Amino acid sequence: MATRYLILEDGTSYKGKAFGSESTTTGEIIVNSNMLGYQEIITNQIYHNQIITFTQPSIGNTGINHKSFESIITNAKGIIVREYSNISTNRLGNLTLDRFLKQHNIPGIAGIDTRELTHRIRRNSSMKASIVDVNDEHAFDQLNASVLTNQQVKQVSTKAPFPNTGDGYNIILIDFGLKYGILRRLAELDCNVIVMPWNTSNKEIMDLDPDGVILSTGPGSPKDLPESVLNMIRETQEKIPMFSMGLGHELFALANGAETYKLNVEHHGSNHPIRQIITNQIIYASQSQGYAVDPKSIKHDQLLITFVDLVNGTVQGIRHRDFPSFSVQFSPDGGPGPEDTVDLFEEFLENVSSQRR
Amino acid sequence: MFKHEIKKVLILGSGPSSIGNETELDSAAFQMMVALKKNGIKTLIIDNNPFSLTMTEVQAANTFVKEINLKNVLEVLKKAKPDAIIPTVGGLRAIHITQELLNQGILKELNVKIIGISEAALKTVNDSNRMKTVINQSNEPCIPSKIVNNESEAFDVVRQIGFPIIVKPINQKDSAKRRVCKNTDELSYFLDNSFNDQNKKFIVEKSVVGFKQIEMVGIRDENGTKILINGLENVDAVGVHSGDSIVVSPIQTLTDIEYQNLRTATFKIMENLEIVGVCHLQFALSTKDNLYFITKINPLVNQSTAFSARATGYPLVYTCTNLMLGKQLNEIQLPEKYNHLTPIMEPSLDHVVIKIPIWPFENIPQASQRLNTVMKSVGSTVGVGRTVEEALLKALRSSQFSPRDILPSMKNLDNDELINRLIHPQSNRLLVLIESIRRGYQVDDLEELTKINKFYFYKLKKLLEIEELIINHPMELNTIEHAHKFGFGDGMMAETWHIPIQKVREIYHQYNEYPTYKSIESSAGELKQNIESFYSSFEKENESYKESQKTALVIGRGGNKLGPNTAADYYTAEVLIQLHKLGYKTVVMNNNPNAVSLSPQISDKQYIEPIQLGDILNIIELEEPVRVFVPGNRHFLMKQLKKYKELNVQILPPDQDTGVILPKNVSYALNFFVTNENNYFISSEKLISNLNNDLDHVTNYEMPYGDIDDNQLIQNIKESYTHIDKSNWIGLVQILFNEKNNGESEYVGIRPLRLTETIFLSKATGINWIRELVKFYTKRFDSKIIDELNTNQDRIASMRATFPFKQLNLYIDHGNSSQEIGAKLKFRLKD
Repeated sequence: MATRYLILEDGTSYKGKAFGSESTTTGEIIVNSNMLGYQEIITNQIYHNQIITFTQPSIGNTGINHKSFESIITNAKGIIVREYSNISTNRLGNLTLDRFLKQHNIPGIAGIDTRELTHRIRRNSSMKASIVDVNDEHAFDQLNASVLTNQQVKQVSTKAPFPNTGDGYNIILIDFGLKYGILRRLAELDCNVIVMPWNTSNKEIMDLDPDGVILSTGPGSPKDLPESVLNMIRETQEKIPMFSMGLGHELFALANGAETYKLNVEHHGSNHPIRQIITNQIIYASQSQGYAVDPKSIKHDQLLITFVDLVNGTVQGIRHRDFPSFSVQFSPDGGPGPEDTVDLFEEFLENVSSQRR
Repeated sequence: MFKHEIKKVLILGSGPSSIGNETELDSAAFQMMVALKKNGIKTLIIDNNPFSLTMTEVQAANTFVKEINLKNVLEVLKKAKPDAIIPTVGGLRAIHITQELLNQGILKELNVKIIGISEAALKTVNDSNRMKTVINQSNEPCIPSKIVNNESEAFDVVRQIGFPIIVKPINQKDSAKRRVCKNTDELSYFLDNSFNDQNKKFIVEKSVVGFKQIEMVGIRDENGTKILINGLENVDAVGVHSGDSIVVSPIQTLTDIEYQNLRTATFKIMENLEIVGVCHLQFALSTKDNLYFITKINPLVNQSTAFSARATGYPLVYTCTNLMLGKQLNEIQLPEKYNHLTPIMEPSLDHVVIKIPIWPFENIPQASQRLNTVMKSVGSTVGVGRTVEEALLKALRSSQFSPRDILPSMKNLDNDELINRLIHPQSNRLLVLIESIRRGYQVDDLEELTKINKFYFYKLKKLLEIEELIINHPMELNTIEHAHKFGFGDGMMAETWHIPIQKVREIYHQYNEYPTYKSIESSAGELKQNIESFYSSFEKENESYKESQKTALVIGRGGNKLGPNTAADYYTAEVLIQLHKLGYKTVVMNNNPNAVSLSPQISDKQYIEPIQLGDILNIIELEEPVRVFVPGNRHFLMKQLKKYKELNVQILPPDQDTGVILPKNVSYALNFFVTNENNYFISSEKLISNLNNDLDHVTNYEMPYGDIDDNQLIQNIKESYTHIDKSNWIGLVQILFNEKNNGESEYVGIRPLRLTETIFLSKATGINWIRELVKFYTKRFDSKIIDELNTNQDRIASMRATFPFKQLNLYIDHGNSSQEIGAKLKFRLKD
């Protein structure tokens, strides 16, 4: 195993061992504290532009399996682990994490003190990092000069609509970086789903005779998307029940006059207590967020806060007062993470059923 | 929502140690008592375990030294009038008594509440029918089974649930007739031979032998908030009791989907039972068919919950005590060192913890070493590391196979026996697995034979590669670096390279390489907190610094095994408490997950590390303790430590090897506290042997010895002084005597007072002799304490050793002192 280096914007350099792709990479470095579900994490489109540090020290222990994809095209920029295992569990017995990363051109680096790295990332705010062969001045110069794209949604969203057929309600799913977990949960509920590109207009949605609309999770800042998306949301929520999550939730808030901001430290994990305001229950959910809705900006005559993260105080859910639309910051489908919140899909379908004429 | 009406609670103790009950319950009871005190609640306790720290720490007036049974508990309830009883830290005995008290309506009558367990949960314990109902109500799967009256019914059931099945007679006592049937022929054969009795009924049950065994530990508050504290993966498959399996945390070989299914199932059961506090569930899981069953529900503290608290650093008992008082998870005020969010954050680990069992077969060779669904191990050790290999090797180095810190070999096993042991697990399982890899068995074959996930064989393979590296590239920095990262100790390298351990250390110290210590905490580095529990790794960042200028290091006994067993851990805990009271910052090293001495309230800092010379020196170099205490006998270790002259090392009690015992029988003893200036007589002691007055078979003790007359006593004391003066010994010293047939007594030996008897001496005299020893060795001893001795005692204390024979399915009448697992304490008035 070749020696490679992880270098950070703050000038730190780590020596580690290469695995996965041998390419050089640059991205924003983040920490994910889920203990299981590395495949779901690596394949989540939300990590477009990002290098993922796993706090769980041993990654790759269950190989790659067909049930754990959150997307087939994988866009994470790199992964950092203490240690990885070369285990395959697929029927051909040939697909290890290492091989999967090679196939998708994702470099990995192992042998890193990820606990120290986690402490460092939590002390600094957002940092860029590179995985390189040589940790010389040139590499740091390149890292500092690199500019990460803000066109992530355009890059990951489907170019053409596609269906996921079912016998039940007709749900339009707007793809900002589709997470397959959403499709799985809707399939369990027999929905007929049509996945549409990120820039779909209200008219295009209405032409498909929808029962409900879902705005998916996705990468990057909600403010990088044009006003047309917010217009689509405003026009749609008046007519059709809507359920938004992650980036979709941030866009839903923006469309209704609230503001969003970038978190100092991104949160990726499923260990935070989240209070459901109405029941006073505390639940746990799969969270991966770099942005949050500013609670002070919420117009209380329009929106109601439904969930709050008890660790960092971020808004985790809102509901529209006038329309049957609500949103959550976390991934209600889990994958990876708790199933405490999957019944939100049923709640959405209840909205759908009561609206349906 | 604090329940103000509760002012006084009775904890049902756990009784003498036994297989499956070491010190974890005592540790939990102790922590619970501390938390109750913080809430202004008075604790009463009933127990007869002389080695219970909780009993010592609860005020004497509030302890009831009685055998824990319905009659005695009832007596205490009537006399002491507590507002509530807590049955969850007393094991199954306490649960059964509480079930009985509830069923008979006694609690209602006396207006005593049960706290720590809901009524629904209480009724489920050991009631398999009710457990099934709960599982069904929760829409979760339990192992399908049905009662059948004849052969054709049996086959009907098989058509529904499929082979393999377990067929067992309805009468549980008839356990010999339990059979796994894998196909029609086997079932027919079994039934043909069994249905001859017309009235016989059988249970046909789906066999899950070979399934993966997973455990989940969760907590729930009154408001219904639930947190999964920990998932435990048993390396051995269903068929081996989880207490006899290697256990890994966090779970390594499940996908997130599989894991979340079990988490959700755990929560549904906890909701159904309205658990307020902790609940432990066991699952059998087949990865192939994506199928799982709930096999056990334990709504109480046990070794799995203790392991979970140790592995995650989550303050489990403290939190649960507050939950049972009606607080909610987000209202709990933890001690200052914790982050206030810790109770409500679902634990996420960035380290690996592995537990290895310790079996008693060295001391009880008659017992069957076959591992099955009945637990046989008497102790365990844990290793903590940043990787599975590191944790596994540290656990192995901590287990007591190797005082010399080497990997023991099983090369003498012939191939047939090896295969037999792979298929039918026995003790020392890990060594057998390692040996099979050494012999070149293929991982896929091993997975098939052992039903152990291949992941673990790859890890063992990796460890053997490093072992090769150590052999082939001696004394290279690169070798040492690799070895350290995978958990190998300096002692092993020294042994392999035939050089002193100090030489190995010099090689890497000159490159400024030192271990880094990392905190065992539950947020994977997210929360800032000052948890004082650490493990070593060789990485970038160190989180542990020298504690103070006046630090005392206490080296724990490690995993329990028969003999002094849990007494040694009690002793360690007492030494820590007393050193702290004398103004020392206390640091403990131990690796027994159930240890009471590792409870966070007992020391200022805990290191969970192998008790091997290299690991000890690492901590000594970091902490620079002014004193080092080593309770219990570790001959090899002590000889090594003594070589470091600059260390102020004190072994307690002094080495038993130096005792002088004449080859004669023994019937009583006199115990002395010996200082440089004076010999103080403390107590006479009757030594009752169950075999020919043989010292090794002395397992019952009485104090004082009532039958000795004053003249003889005076004479014996005088004689003792001469032996003591000759021996040059100090501290607690025991002089042994034998009473001959003619009534005369003769001197037969002198030895340092053993751990168990030191504790007994404290219980009998009401003076804490461990405290006095610690004071003595730190030059604070004040002989005034001797004046407090009540020479005119009207009561006699007795301590009777208990043995694990019955649990090991052996019919042995009497054991020797190296086979003791626990003891019972009793007081009676002098006749």
